[in-house]
Amino acid sequence: MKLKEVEEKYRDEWVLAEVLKEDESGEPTELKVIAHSKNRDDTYDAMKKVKGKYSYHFYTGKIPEEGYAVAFYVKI
Amino acid sequence: MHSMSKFRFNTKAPVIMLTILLEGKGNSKQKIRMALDTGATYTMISWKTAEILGLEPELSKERIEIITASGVEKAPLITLRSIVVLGKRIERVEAVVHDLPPKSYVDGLLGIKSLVELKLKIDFSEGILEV
Repeated sequence: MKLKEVEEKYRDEWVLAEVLKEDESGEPTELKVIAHSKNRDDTYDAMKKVKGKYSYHFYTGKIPEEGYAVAFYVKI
Repeated sequence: MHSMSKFRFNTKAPVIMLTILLEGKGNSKQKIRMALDTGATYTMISWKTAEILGLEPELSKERIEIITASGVEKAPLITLRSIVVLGKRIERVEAVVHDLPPKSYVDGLLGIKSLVELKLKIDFSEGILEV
């Protein structure tokens, strides 16, 4: 499946997919979905099970959700 | 001479998301989405991602205090074999292991130290990243 197709089919979910093809910037263009869930822990668990496979883990929804602002900040 | 590559990003998006390949111990690797964060000193990855990459963050002797929106915490510092961002590889990348809240919807942050190594140029008016 194309990345856009995965994002549309599994909207607002975490997806773990095997990377079949990617462009020169490393953006996956062809994927095979391994697992998908609203709960990130489910796809993390799937990641452990398919360790060794070249896979991509990502969220398909809008970041941030409606009504949220983003403030990532880590100073050491 | 190294040739520069340009990539477009959406200037209206509240977060710049990048697809990044992380390489850990042995041949372990994982592709994830990270937020480009000029407010973060270090690159940050989640505990689960670090474990999948065989990095054993719980055994790391280096712990550093991190200041987050919710307070000060001690987090392990690990070294990734390499990361590949926008087609460019950076070897031996130090990263803090810390879980971002589930509602952040990202697996990690690409911080200043990595951005400097990458020699990344950001043009916010045109929406161009150059490496």
